[in-house]
Amino acid sequence: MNNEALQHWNNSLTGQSEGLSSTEDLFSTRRKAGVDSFQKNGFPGRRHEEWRYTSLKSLSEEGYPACLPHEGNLPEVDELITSSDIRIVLINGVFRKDLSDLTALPDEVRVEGFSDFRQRANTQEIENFDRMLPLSDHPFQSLGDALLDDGLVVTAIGNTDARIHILHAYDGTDTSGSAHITGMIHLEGGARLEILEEFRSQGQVMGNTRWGIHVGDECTLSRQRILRPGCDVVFHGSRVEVGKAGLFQDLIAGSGSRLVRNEIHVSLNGAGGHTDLFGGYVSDGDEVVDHHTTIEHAVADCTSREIYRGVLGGKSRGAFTGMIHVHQDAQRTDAKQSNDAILLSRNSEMNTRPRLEIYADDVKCTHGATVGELDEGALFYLRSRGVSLEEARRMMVRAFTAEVFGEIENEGLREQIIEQLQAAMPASECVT
Amino acid sequence: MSEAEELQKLADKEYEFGFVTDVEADSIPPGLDEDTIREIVKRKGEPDWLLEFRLKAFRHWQTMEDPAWAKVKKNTVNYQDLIYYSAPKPKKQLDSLDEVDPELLETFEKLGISLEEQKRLSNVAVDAVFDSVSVATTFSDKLAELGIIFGSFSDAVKEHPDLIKKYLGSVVPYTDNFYSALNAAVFSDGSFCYIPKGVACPMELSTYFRINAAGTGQFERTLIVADEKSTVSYLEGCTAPMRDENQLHAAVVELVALEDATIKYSTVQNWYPGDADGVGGIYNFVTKRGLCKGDRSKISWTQVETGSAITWKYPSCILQGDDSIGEFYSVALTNNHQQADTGTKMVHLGKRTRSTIISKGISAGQGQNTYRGLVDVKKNAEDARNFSQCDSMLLGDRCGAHTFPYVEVRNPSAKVEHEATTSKIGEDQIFYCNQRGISTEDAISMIVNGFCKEVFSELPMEFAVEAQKLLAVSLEGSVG
Repeated sequence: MNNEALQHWNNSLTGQSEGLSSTEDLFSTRRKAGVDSFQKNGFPGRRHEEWRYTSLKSLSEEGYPACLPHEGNLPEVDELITSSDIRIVLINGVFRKDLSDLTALPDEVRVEGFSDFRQRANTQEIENFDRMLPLSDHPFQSLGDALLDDGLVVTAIGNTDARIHILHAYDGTDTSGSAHITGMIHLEGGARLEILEEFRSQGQVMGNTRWGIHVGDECTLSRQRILRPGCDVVFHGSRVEVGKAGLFQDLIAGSGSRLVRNEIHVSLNGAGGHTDLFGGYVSDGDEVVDHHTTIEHAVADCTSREIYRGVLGGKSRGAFTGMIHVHQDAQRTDAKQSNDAILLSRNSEMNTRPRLEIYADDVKCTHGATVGELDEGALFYLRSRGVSLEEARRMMVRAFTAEVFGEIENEGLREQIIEQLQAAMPASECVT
Repeated sequence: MSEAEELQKLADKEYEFGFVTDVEADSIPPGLDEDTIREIVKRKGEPDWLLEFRLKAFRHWQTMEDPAWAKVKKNTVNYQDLIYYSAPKPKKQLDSLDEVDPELLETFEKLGISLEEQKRLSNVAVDAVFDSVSVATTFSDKLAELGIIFGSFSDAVKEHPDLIKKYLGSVVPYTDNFYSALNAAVFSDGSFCYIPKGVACPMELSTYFRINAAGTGQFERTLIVADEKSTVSYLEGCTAPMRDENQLHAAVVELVALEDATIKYSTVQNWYPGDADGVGGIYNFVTKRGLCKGDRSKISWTQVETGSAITWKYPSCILQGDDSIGEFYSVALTNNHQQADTGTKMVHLGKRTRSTIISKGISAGQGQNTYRGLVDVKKNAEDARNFSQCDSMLLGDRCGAHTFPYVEVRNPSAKVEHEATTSKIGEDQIFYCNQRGISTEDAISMIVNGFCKEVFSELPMEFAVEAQKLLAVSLEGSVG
């Protein structure tokens, strides 16, 4: 990062952070730590091992430092077909009770804005928060800490289930900027939640979202994240702890974002815990899609499954880093990971980095990675039966991503996402 | 004798090759600065251009830091405490084996590589490096008839300066990494091999390296050039005496294959791994790289790594020529407190280049075994193909097996596949064997050998036998 750009960031950050801390002081130490950490480390370059494939250089030199204004409009896109009956809207990082619909919320489930939470949180809750989202020298975490303001806290305790649609909207039509959202989800006592997280954005906007998630014993959290076309810079980080016989399922799908970095850290802390991580994307132009996952098998008898699939065209770049860490004595672990990519153009690029770290002997761990183009033989087969080239490619990409999107139970939503990805599919240069 | 008894016998004895030959060594004092390098050059009678090369490398090395990225825990090496030159004093000019220091010959016999025996029976030419200076070179005359140059690096510098000047540092430049820079600055000796156009080398070329003289870092340099349409198979094997202090070994191996040439490089590495408590052992930090320079050239690396306290080694292929082929077959075994961070890099530059990676890691005791590899398909590498397979086996619940592959693809016509699995020996497998009267130890030995079969089958016959034995010995005590 050049000095001028860095100075601009640092000044802007300090000013805004102090502005936030002047109102109340429960989190001011944390904000200060965030500012210090960011000022010390800045945006990492590609020499940093964790950021080897994703350059943040463009972020440091553009108009992201200022936070977006609290007021803004919902970007116009077609509504997602969802079975959720609870709708939560955040615009430019601010929880908008007036636009949300919480009438169907069961008694056992509580939803509040993070700005409310941080004004009333007790010591125990702050300790929980610090455990779930520990301080780190991660650039987006530091920014999130420095500008800790609003977000969402969802708590579900007891034998209950709920389906929640969270809509993150960013309106950067008048001015460019960033929004930083801090969220917590806390499930206990066998609660089951389904969360559909949708991202809509227009203009030059950096959306920085991070979640600290606790899936207690025998609880289930099933999350789907959809990035609608037109998003600019999206960072999404989750730290998840899963208890005994807990289940955490995650799926991320999207197209048309300039830079996506998705980080998930799942720690399986109780026997019988399971996690599913899925991702599917299509990229074009000079987009960057970077999935970065870590699964910690901390105790015995847990299982995990990971499938990420991407189709890349134009000059876009894809990256996948998937760590599976099996701790000592985490016997009878079963972990499966696969990452596959199709390159449609000469200038697209895929970098994949599966990692296994295993310290227990009675484990089954596999990972597989493939990179290639659409199979010419299969295309020829389809074309020789009168299927047009474009249609044949659509069919093949559909089949390629089926393993990921087959996980979406709601058929309407599934078709809608596949349609979004098909529409975003770049013309192939490679196949004639 | 059943295999189990044999294993027990092997398990009961101390490291077989742990002895120090008492030869009067001609060493220079420990420490490293430009004067040390000048002294090495003076003692070896090297030309000025080589001094320049060494000094440039040394100056560059001073700007570098000891790398810390490998997944190993090591003691800091104090480079000023090492002795950078140690040569056994020749009693007189060596013309034939009879004139070689009898103590040295005895050492080789203990190692099972009696030169006469080798000469007479196995049709293998041996260039034995005893510490830093080649003592005897066999079969040179026979090879010379075909125009093959095979001898010590020092001799080649004197006799074939043009070839050395042309290829030294062309595959592993001194700027490459910390250890290759150090090696370029202070390399002691090693082997040089040149196969002329159209010649298929009629025998396996082999070098036995051996570290001796306490406190000597050994820095060999090997350079193999295979000219157009030539073929060569090269064997490297190592044993080292028992030491309590960590000994550093930073070698550089460069291979160059021109058009239609094939180089096969096989290694069985069995250096002292330290005792059962992790005390002592060799630090094996080696840079090995092959350049497939010409079209349709092929370089194949096969390694069996069972020794050393720490192994840090990534034999790589730069696939520059169109249709060139790179292969990497590896078995790495870590027992007790051994650590290995090993793998390969396959850099695809040419069109239709192909590479295969088969890596088998076995961890036992508290051993930590890491596969680290890179498959890099550059933009112009049309129709490149890679297949990688990394399998790990864990024996015991206190060891670790890690896999860090990197796949970077910049050409859509590439087909890259990577697979990794981790397993242990199933109780059902053992039960099956026991039921048929095979003891647990024998069963494990069988299963482990089966696990490594794909790699062993790539080894030359005599090495394959040695490798299987080594594996059994190295696994001793790991069967619980």
